[in-house]
Amino acid sequence: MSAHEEHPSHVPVYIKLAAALGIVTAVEVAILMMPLPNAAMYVGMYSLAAVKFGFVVAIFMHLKYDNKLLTGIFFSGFTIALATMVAMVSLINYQPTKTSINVKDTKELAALSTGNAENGPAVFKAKGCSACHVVSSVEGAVGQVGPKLDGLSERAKTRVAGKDAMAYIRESIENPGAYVVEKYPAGLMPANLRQTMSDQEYNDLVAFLAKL
Amino acid sequence: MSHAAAAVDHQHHHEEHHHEEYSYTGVTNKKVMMWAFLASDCMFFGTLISTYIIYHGKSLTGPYPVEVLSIPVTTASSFVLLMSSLLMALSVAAVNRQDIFQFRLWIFLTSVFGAIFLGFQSYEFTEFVLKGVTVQQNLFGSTFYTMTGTHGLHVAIGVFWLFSWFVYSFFGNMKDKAVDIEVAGLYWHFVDIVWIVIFTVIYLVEFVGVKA
Amino acid sequence: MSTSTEEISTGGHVHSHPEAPEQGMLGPRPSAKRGIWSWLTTIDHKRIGIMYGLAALFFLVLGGLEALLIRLQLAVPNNALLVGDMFNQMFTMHGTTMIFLAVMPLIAAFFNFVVPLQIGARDVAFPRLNAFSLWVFIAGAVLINVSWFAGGAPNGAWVGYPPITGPQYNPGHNSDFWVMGLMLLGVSSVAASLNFFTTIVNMRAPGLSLMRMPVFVWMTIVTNILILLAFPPITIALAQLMMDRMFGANFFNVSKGGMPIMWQHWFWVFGHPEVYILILPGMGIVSEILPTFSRKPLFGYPLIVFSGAFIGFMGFAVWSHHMFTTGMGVIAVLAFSVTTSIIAVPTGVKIFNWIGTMWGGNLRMTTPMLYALSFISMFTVGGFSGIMHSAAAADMQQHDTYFIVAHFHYVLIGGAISALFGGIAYWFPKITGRLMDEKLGKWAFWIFFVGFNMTFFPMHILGLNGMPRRIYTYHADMGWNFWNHFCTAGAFVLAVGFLLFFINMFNSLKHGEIAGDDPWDGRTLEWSISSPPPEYNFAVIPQVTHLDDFWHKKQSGKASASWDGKLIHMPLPSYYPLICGVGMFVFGMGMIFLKDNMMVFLPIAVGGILLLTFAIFGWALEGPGGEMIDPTKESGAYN
Repeated sequence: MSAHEEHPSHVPVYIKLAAALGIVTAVEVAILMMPLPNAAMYVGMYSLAAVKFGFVVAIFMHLKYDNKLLTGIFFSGFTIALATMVAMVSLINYQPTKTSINVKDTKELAALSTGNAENGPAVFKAKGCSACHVVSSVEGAVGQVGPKLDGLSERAKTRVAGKDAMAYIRESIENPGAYVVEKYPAGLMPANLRQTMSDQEYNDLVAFLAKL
Repeated sequence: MSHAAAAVDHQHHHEEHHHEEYSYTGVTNKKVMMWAFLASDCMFFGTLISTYIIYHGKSLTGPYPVEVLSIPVTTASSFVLLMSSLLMALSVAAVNRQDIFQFRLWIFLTSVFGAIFLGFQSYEFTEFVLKGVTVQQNLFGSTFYTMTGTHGLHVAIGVFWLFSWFVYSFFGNMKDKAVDIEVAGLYWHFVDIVWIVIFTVIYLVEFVGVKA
Repeated sequence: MSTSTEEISTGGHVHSHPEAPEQGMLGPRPSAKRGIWSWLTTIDHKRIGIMYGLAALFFLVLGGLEALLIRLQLAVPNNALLVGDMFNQMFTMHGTTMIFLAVMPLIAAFFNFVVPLQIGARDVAFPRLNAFSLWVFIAGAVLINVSWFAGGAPNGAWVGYPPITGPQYNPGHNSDFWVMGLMLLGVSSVAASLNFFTTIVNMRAPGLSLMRMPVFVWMTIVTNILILLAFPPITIALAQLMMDRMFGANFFNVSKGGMPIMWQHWFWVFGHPEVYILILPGMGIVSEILPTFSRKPLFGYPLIVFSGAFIGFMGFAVWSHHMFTTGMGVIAVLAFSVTTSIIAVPTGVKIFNWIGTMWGGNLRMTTPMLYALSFISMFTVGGFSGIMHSAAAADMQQHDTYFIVAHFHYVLIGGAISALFGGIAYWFPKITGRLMDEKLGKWAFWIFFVGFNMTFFPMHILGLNGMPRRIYTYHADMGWNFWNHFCTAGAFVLAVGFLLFFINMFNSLKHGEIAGDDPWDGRTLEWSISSPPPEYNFAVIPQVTHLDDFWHKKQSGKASASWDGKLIHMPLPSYYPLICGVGMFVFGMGMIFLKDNMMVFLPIAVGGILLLTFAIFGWALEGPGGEMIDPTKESGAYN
């Protein structure tokens, strides 16, 4: 207790702080009257509240002048309380509608199966397919390394038992080694073609090939 | 008081309270306990305030907060509580100087300001009930009264506590009571900073984006 | 500053300050040194600890009888011993009693008795507040159990989820007793924690820096921080439930938009730290027993300390793993899975440290050591079945099955109770001056150990076979008959183990071998003083220079310090903490029945508050008081 008498008087500081707190409170209310965007209002109000809080704790409650132990005690509790508040409000108020990350919703599933065949030739050329495959309707598709793709839709239907044309074409792109056509070398077609395309490009390409 | 008498008095004071005075950290026990209590109280009010935030906007029937909360009235009561913090700080400073007259004056005014705040709160509660906001009416009523009621109970206990010290100062010896007053003051300032948060989160933010 | 009284060297038993009011509001301060009033008004931490311990053991027996009734009902399919609501009351009270009225006060008993002795203090920081905690605990404990005779005990499980406990589905007073009782227990726990937090921060003997504190003291301060931060949320949640039940508020009323899920969140924000509140002191006790009986310092002391603190901190970041089945969404489930997995790491670190302590040690297989070993092994089993649930997918399968029941009984009985019973056996000579009988103690231990595993291990199997918790019976075709039968048999073996332990305690109190000051060749300060310790604990406050200071002093031959002729200042007993407890009890009873008859019960509740206020004023005005004790003239023993 004797320590207090050695301190300089804090009374002038207290009075200045009280005046400042009054002014800040007035500013908070004034913010409401101003034509500001909502976000700015929120930021302004919460910051000013934090400033008031901080100054009362530091000056009126003497934490600034006192043993740091007390600051540690208070702000440990304060931090855990604040973190719990934020976690709780987020947990209850911002629940995601999706319950699992692996299930695609119906819109995504629909996009997977429908492509636009008209965009197919562009993808076909852009991904370099022309270098190895012949497609008579595509200019420059004259490569001889891989099988000719004209009439693919008919052949694909029956080539592999249990797979329809669509499934066969997809499998042949995603995993080129699966069903290599006789007399053609295995392992030449790049295995990562699917990964180079967006979902939309891929679907467009498959739709185009299925109509050949 | 003669010099010798003061020395004797000092000695006596030590004898009477030496049990309280041993402290490994150099901070008095009562202050350590009060700060630990305030850390715990952060969690207490954190729970109340986050419950209000979580239920905000979830009332199924009116009246809704934006229809009943009054910024002018609450600004006035907030200002009263802020200024009571100044008075509290002044009374702690006075008792540290052993200026008993000023101590009595400031602590009396602190409890009067606290009582005025409680008067505002009673007025507010009465108004709200007349407008149909009851604990049973909707989620706003339940959360609002529980939160501000708990805060009001803290204020009431504080007023009672401080006023008891005011009365005590007339027949008791205030010489070794500075720590007790300081601890009561910490409690009082904490009640004030909780209100700083409530004023912003419950009152001001409610009116962001609302044309007055 | 502590030396000020030492200037006084006049002998005798004199009061130091004749000016202080010897007359309180109730006349003179209590002065009884023996008999019932000396116990009711005591502020001596050792006596308060003993009363906490006796109350805890009483409620342990009560909760144990409730458990036996539950096991009898489940012994055979389609049994009709306890049906429906009666069964609900029984398991609710079993859980509530065991957690709040048995294990927590037993822990508080050790805090009270051991912590001031281990830190070289003459009492706690606030001796009267300590008595207040005890009496409010007793008030809350009695209040909850009054419900058996007042229309039915709480029946909404120890977690008390609304709407089951809400006014719509539970219109009786059952849950009112639960709500008010837990609030009083919360007040008691928070007051005690403030006291012990301050005591450990401020009352340590000179030189006893943080990293020289015994691990039990460390775990005590961590536990008390957890109590301080975990009890407010449950208090508010209880207040909200009380508002719903007594004043028609809508917090958990779905028809007005209330969200019962919020109760679950707030409950587990408290509930998970509560699990660590129950287990960390046990870890502290084991960390005292193992080095003593291995005759080695604790292996990796800083790691054990920091692991304990880290467990305490992380305890606030895992609560939602109790709620994986509530549909919180992927991100929340993932986050809490990860934090739950992380919290297993410091626990594992501790287990390896304990094993490292024993490695190469000169092991003495005494009763306390056996309980400590039981703690390590059984807590490891319980820990493993716990960490399994951090995988949310597995948790969804096991949620609310007997697998969970098996898991937390391994943690709470195999863990907490093992450690606490080990602690009783370890400190019994310090508390009473006599050793517990080793032969009977070992019998009690092995029967306890076998009975415990018989009762709870099969519950893993029952749970994986799909048996849900909290059902009062089951069909004979479910395939659960054999193991249920077996569990019930095990429960009675376990009960015999407890009974033998109590018989041993009771018997040793009168006929045990005289212990002497330091029967185990202990390492910490409590073994440096007589058994039982004198009222003032230390005639001379020790100067601490090492971790395991007493051990070092014994090694260097400086163990015994003689009295330096300076009188010892001790605070005086008080009536007011007891009156506070009575006031809280009356207030609680008034609140519970408030809505039945406002005219009768409102005055009762207000009367309780007035009594409390009166007691607080009396308390404040009488001051701590004090008397000077001459250690050569006082008889010494506190009991």
